[in-house]
Amino acid sequence: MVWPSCRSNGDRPGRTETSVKIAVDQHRCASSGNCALSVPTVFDQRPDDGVVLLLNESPPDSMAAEILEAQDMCPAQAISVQK
Amino acid sequence: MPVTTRSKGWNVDAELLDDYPSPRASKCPFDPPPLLTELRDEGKIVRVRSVDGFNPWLITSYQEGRDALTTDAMSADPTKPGWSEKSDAFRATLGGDKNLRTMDNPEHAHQKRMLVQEFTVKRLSALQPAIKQIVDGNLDQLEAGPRPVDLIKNYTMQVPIVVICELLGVPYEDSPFFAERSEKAIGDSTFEEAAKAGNDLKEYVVELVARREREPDGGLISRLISQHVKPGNMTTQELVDTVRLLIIAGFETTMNQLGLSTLVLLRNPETLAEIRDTDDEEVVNNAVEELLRYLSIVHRGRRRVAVRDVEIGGQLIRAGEPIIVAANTGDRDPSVFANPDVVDIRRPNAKAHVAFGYGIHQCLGQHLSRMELRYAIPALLRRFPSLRLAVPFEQLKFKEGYTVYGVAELPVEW
Repeated sequence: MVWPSCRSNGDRPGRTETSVKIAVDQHRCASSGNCALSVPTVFDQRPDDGVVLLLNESPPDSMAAEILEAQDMCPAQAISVQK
Repeated sequence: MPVTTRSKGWNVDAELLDDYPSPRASKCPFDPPPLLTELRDEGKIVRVRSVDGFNPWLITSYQEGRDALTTDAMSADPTKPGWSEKSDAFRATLGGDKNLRTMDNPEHAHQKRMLVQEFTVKRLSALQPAIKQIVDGNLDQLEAGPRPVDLIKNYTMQVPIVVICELLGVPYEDSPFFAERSEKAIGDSTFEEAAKAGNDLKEYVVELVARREREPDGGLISRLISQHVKPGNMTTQELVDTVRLLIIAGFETTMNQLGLSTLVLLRNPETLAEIRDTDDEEVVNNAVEELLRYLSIVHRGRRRVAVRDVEIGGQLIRAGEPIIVAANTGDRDPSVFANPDVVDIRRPNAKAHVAFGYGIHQCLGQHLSRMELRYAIPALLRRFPSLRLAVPFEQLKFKEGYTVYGVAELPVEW
């Protein structure tokens, strides 16, 4: 089952599939948009300053590879991931 | 450090690399200089002799390059003590700028966040139709024109310039003027030549900004004036330096990447055919990343200076000592990229390249560049399926002394 993306507000529905946990550091973010380009269902950019917006803090495990890739490619190292 | 076994390029007495970058192997114009590759493979961080005497440390490996570009021990500000500039031409022009490129955080973030809304993935996607129109129109002209034709002058120089004019709201008729000045500013010029070109450009931008102040046109420059200069977040000087940077960076880079990519594909016909004949845009996208990695055209290093002591790759670098981060050797690092000297458009980690740099200063325009390359490369190959070089490969000249590497002319026919 795939959960719809949700704005990160601390409230999450229960999970039936293990998920990856993501956090972003908006202060560290350099607004490169690389994450938004590679995983647009999970990362977006604030329109006024391009800073990362986390759309889904617990995407399913099946997305782990691309999320880890986004983490590695973030030039500001602003993404942390827990599997 | 064993210097006695070193060949040409070493100042044996001072244990310094004579110059940076060292020459490329003449038969391998796409590969980084062999001496630098050797240093990387030996895991050596050495100093380069520089005219100013500051002798920057040279970082050639992938991971250490990324470390150097992310540590806050390193500053991008050329006014800091110990800064070593890349060339006279650069020092005379962009090197003296006050804009986001030459600032550290928090000032850098402040400047960047004022610009970045124009460069987000979403915002840039609005330029897609314009890019398509510009490329297609240019290809129509090529098709109707004479052959052989120089693809540099008539394609790779055209597309990115028109796109940047479109983005910035700069009149397209002015583009031959600033194209020529940009080439001098980042080229193999004397201090005087570069300074004159840089000044011409600066005057042009000052005039353009003043014009937009009087008559806003809703374009990027007008938006920056109303949203940031008028409220006092950005000075007019900062705006001028920034716009000048965007003009130069906006086309020199993509133009050269487009030219060299085409040449690489002409030399790798099977790969060319794969890109030309696929209808899977992921294949094209990955090919573009692989070409960025393989070519890594910012080939004269990215400079920083330490503002506190820091250890990189086991080497202690003291405050006030400058460094050069070589991205091209990093992008061919075998510990990261298997068979790194081969163009493999299916390479799974092609996009891990550092061709756009890394850290907070990673290229602001990278997505725009990607959009242009993703459209312009396959479009060219599909319009002219039998595209081929019109001169022997050995006759081609490469822009060794330029800040951004490229091929000077690319005569083709079909």
